[in-house]
Amino acid sequence: MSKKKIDDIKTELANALGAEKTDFRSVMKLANELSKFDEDYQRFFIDAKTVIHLGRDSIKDHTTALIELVKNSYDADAYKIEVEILCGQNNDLIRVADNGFGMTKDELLNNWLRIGFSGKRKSKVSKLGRRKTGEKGIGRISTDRLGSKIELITKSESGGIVGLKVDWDEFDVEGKEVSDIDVQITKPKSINVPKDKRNKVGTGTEIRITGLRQDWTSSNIEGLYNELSALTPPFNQQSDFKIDLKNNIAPEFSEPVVSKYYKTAEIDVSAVFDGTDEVYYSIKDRHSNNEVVDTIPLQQFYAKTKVSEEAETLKCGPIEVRLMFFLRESSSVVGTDFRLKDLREFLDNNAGVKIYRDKIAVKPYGFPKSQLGYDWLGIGEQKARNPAGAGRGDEFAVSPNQLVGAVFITRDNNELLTDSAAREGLVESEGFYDMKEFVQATKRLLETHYGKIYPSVEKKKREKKRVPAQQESERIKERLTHVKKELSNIQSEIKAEAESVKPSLFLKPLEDSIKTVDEVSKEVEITITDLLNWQRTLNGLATIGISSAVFGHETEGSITQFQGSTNTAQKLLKITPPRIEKAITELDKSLRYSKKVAAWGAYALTRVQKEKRTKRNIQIYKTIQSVVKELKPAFDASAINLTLNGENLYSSTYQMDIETILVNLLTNAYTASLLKGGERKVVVNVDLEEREGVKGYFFSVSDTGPGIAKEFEKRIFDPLFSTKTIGANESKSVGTGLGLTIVKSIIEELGGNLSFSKDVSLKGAIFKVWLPKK
Amino acid sequence: MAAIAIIDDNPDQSTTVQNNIEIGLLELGSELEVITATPFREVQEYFSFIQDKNVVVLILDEKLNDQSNDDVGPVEYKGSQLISILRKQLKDFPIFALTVIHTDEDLTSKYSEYDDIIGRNEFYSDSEKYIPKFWRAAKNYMKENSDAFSEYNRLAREVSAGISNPNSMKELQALQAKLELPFSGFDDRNAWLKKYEEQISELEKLNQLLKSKLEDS
Repeated sequence: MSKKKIDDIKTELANALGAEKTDFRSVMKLANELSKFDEDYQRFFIDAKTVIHLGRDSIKDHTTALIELVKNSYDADAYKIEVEILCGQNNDLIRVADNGFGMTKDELLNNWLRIGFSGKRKSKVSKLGRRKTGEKGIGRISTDRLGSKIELITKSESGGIVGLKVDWDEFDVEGKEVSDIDVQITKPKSINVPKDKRNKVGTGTEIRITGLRQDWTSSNIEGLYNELSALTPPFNQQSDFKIDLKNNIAPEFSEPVVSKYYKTAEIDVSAVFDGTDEVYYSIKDRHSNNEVVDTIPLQQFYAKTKVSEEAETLKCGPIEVRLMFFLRESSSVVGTDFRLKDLREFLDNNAGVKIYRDKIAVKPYGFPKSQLGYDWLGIGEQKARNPAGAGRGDEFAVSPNQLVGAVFITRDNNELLTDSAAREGLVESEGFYDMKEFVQATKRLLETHYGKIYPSVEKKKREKKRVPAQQESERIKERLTHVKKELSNIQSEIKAEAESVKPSLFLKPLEDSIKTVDEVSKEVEITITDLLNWQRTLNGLATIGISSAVFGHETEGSITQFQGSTNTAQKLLKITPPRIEKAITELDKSLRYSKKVAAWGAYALTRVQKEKRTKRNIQIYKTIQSVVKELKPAFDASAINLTLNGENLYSSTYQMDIETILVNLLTNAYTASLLKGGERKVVVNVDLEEREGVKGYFFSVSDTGPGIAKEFEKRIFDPLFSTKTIGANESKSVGTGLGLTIVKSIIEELGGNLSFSKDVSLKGAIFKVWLPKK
Repeated sequence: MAAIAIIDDNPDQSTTVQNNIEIGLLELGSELEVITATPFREVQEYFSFIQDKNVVVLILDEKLNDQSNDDVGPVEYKGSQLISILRKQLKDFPIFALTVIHTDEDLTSKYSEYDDIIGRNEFYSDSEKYIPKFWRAAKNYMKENSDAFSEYNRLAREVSAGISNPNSMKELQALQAKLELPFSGFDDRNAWLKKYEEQISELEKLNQLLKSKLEDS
């Protein structure tokens, strides 16, 4: 049976191959059918719907789908891209046209039609030195998200014009294989791409999408505009890359896309050297409305920026420098329409100081991934040499990825800045070095200004944070109530007009609500982080208080002994005859006790250091060892033998939390040990311990005290409950009842566990802290 | 020679106080000796220490239970606990508290049992006020003690000579309580005599009985 079938297919295939006009479709279908009879090997085949799912699942929404097409144009080194969105009756169209390098027919058929192919994998940088932005080779199938029909025309320098048409709806049919669907190859006579004199051949790619899947709203267009502006360099003067957006939904965004990210710059500095001996400069910062503007002699400009002492003129000729300094943090986008993600993308695309000659960027200066050119000013090296933060004022240095800048020169005015023989870069002449020095001086001007305003910026931030909790809570509640009301209105409207409901009508309010929830969530997150940090500090301070109350006697005793011995030594030297030997002994004691006092001071001062409140990889054993060492004199003074056993281990955590836990447990152990005479011991053990498959570590504190009385076991973690008394048989409490409450709350926050029992060896209590190792 | 004794678990502290008092007494022309001791494990040892060293003033630290001066570890009592035990016998003995935290509640609650509670810091800065106080307390104690001993000896002689009256007996008992003498009291002696006499009378009776038996036979 199958033998006959195979023969039939073979005959049919032979006929198809032998026909005068080859029916490729039949040939492929028959060949596929025939291959199914292969007894030894078989192949995967793909359901056409998979392609549709892949596109739809990989792309969040239609704005993202369109951005992917624009990114492809950017990666194709286009100087200009036209994006058109037209929505209306029988007039739906999305058009993306660029004047990039286009595709040959071969590239179109073998690369574009190959799902998952991405040129980015071969090279991450385009020929023009752009960092490629496209993703995973799925941009083209994401067009299904935009519309059902796609027509692509492309023109390359060597391959002429070629095109294709795809009807995505044909893929959306059950049981069809990808190879069953025809993609029509077209041979258009012309292509409509943006003109540019640098692109003499007129290469480029034009994509027209019709049968739009979704209505575009004003809000969508605004979001698209903002995302497109992240790809656009911030300097209007140059013509490296431009996007022209046209639409009939939100006419206010029908214009060339201009980067507005300069609004998020902390500092924006311009400096212009007039070619003789004067410098005009302006400094703007986003924290004050003032703009500092001045014109000063070049020598004074250099003296001010401490770059060079002798510079009467510059051999490079007149130049203009603009530098913008950005912070890559959420505070930079507060009060703007931008998201932090967009700002970071903008900085990834545009960080660096570029040189523009007659509005054209000179490679490789300021181009990312260009090994020699990206940081041609040595900004990274300067930062590495001097990593001081802005808090150090004058010494502050920016990082390369925080700076976006441009140096503007012309061929006519800067004759000494000539091209190198390799055609990439400028000859490193005296003129070049003078230009470089001028840019560095401008950078210093920026850094000095930021160092100067930083204290007031930080103060403002702190003041802003000091919104009373009640007020903040009311504000958040109010905003969420508003969102709830909006959503409830939408729900009612949908119910009322179930038949004629148009999803597009509800998109805007929905998006606004989601945006509000998103903003509120971020604010809440920041508030919680701040509160936790605050709590951490308070816990630390409370612990100093608790330990000071307990070890206070020892400190007070040391101070008194120090004063007493000094005083006595004086008396011993004043009497006749002076008692020299005894005076020396007293002075020795004086010195010893002064050291004890100083050690206690150091202990208290180092408890809440800022770096201890930052999460980082710390050496747990060493941290514990340091606390034990600091408290040991107090234990020794009460004849308590404090010992530590264990080995070093690392974990990413807050050093202050570990110290706070330990100090509280040691304070308790100290008090407990004093309740009994005889041999007093406190032992601290540290080691790794895995619990239920989770890697972790523990530290325990055992003592020779009386242990935890049965009746107190359930109450010891209650706030304000304390068993600390002066003597074993006395009822007077000297504890605050906060120590173990603090310990427990920290351990819970760190995802750990606290247990206690009777120590078998020392006969007193043992408190064991287990924490996950991160 | 009579002595002022300082009891402290920290020898650094006690020797500094010792030096101060010695200088102060020198300036006052006193011949009192100043000695130091670490807390005794058994409270009874304080009585023999006072007697053996002829101690006339005791200066106690409050936190006697901090430091260990032997292999056993610190003692289990504090100054404010020790004073109550000492006062059961040493009713009028001069005992001062000298400590860092002189405002400690446990200590101040025993104020009536001490002759004074002095902050260590105040002592160092104002020793010319406190050292004469110790000296006066020592002199008064020694004077009262020697008068009481003289009176005691006189009354005891009267009793043994059989010329005492009931008032003399009461006075003698009061002096005995004040001086806390380590020998048995008159009550005990009377009881012994009574018992002795009872035994004698038993022997007398036995003697009589034997005599009558012999006579009968």
